[in-house]
Amino acid sequence: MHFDIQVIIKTIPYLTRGLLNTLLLAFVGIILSSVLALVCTPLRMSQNRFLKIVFSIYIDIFRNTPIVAQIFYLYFALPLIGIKVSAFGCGLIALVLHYNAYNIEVLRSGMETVPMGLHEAGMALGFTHIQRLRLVILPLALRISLPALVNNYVSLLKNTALVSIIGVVELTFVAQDVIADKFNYLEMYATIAVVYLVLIFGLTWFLREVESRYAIVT
Amino acid sequence: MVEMLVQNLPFLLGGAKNTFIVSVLGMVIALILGVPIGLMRLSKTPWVRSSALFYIEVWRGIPFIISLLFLYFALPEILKLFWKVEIGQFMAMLLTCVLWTSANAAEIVRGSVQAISFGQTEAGMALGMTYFQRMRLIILPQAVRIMLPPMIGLFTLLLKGTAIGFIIEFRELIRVGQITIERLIMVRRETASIEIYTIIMILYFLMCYPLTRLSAYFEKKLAKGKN
Amino acid sequence: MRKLLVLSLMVLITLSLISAAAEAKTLEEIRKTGKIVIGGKGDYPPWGVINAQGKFEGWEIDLCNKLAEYLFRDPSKVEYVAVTGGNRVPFLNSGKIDIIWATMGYTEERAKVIDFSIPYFSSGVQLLVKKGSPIKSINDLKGKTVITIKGTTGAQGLEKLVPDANQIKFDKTSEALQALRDDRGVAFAQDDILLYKLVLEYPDYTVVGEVFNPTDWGVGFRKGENDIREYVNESLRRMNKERYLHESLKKWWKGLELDEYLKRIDAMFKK
Repeated sequence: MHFDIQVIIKTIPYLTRGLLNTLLLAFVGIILSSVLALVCTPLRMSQNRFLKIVFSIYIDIFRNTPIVAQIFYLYFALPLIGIKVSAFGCGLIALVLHYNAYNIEVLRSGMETVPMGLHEAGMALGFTHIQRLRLVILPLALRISLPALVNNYVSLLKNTALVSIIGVVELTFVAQDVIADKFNYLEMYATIAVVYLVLIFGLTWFLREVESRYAIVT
Repeated sequence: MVEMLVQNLPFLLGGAKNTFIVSVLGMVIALILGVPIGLMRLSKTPWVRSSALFYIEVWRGIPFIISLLFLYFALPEILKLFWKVEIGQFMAMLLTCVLWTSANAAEIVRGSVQAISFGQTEAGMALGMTYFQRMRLIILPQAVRIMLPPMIGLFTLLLKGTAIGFIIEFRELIRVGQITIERLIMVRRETASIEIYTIIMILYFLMCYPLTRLSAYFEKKLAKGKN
Repeated sequence: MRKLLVLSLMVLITLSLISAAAEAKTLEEIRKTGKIVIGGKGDYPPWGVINAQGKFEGWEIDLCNKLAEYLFRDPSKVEYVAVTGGNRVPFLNSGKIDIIWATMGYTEERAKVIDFSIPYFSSGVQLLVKKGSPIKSINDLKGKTVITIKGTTGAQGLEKLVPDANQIKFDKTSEALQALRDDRGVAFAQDDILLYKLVLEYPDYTVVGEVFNPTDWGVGFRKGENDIREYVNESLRRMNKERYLHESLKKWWKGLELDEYLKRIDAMFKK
């Protein structure tokens, strides 16, 4: 069983296409799940009982079931409620909903760490509740939660590999497709293992830089 | 609907059992490996520290699915140069679980040991204890308390992580569900994807939610204990 | 961190210089283990399915059991592993299974990495579409989205004949079927015999198009395992002479196409 670099070189165009989708899923996923978390966390912490319960249930479900099951579930369920999206869309939605749940919990704990004094300062300045959140609390909470959020972001990047199961043409899917026709599993799996390692290290390094500049350690 | 449930539940529960068994086994072995590797990570000796760091970064860094595929298909090819060896589905699954979990466990151990104030170590040194005595009698007992919530969390992640095992034909819960759906869709004319996946989600929830609550409970107790 | 990257690249380069010895199992070794591990289809009725108890059953399964009966005097001495078009060859070549008996057609690509038995059946690819669909042949697929299974003659045939069709490739038949029902594609390209079975269950679908990319089915072996291959060839010839191939097929297929299928078997053994 000879390890053939030639075959890998021939599949570079296809691999690149897969890599681009992986990166797209990761970056859009990270941004969307963060923005969504910023919106949802105050809702999660509101006094409204209904909101509290809805979010509790949502978070409990998405944190206590595997992301694989969630991906399949959304893939089959979304068309039934009329949402027709491509597999890429389904995969993205699954990733965002999954990591939003984790981000909300992280952000919530960050928000709770923000000292009361700042809430009061905001009120003294005449800010409305939303202004207080937007201008004072959330930015701070975000910076406090940054290390934990960074973990979630790296995890999201790794789990983009899972959306291959519904046919999204990302890196893992490309490897499996090529193997299905060319049977070169050693070469393909070794190659994408290295690519993933490079991506993870790259993202981790970048996020650590961001962390060192913006994170607040309490 | 109920009839379909009753007919298929034993098969599905069998899958849940496999998920549970491989996770428990993986966790136990991972703990045994994770503690020394976590401590090695803190060693003063450079090569010891780097080896531990390499192990941790690789097995935490590579996505679980890739490790699984690599260990199932590629590793035997490399090993066969030296030994006549085979890696079946369960072994590949277990190996992947152990490597990934032990790397994460090592990180948790490292964090927990680092969280214990140096004063404790100094006290141990003042009492004339060796490294191993210090570890065994002072540091680790305290570290275990700190480790408990994240370790339970890690086990929960592992339980959920085994879900990707279906890709190598390992008969865990998702695979078992897929087989059931396949049979129903092609032989009995029933499209039952949603129903089966709902059952699967419920079974996973039943396995994981108590653990999540347990971890939160210990975390609260720990915070109280500190004050 | 850079050290790790360098190390990983070194590992990759080292691997590229390794030539692993081909793993070869002998018939004796299989006999010694007391069972034969066969990669079969679990989602391809009625040739191979997994029943409610988790056991494999179907026409090919019957043939596999017969092989075990010849080999061990006990038809139950088989361990089945469900394989798909996309993973059966890796499973075989990495030693997870002893032979492939999974609706596999002979292609030159496959023959480069595995050996085939004498043919025992044949099929061609056609299209499954919703009744009333405007798709009537593969030419209508130009620029459209088509559903296929990874690693099958359907996917490979379409690559060659309609390269600008957008293929969505799945691993499993049920996923492909579900996708077709959700209108994620205009057609499902797979073996004609599987499609004939599916339209029995789903009469709102129909099979269209000329048959393309026809292949003869064979059992798959690792390269160089000639004694195992010869044994299976002999077994197939014996099953044909004893009419076991035909009788067991009649058990699994009752529809109109039965005569056609029986003729296909005979055509294989005239060669």
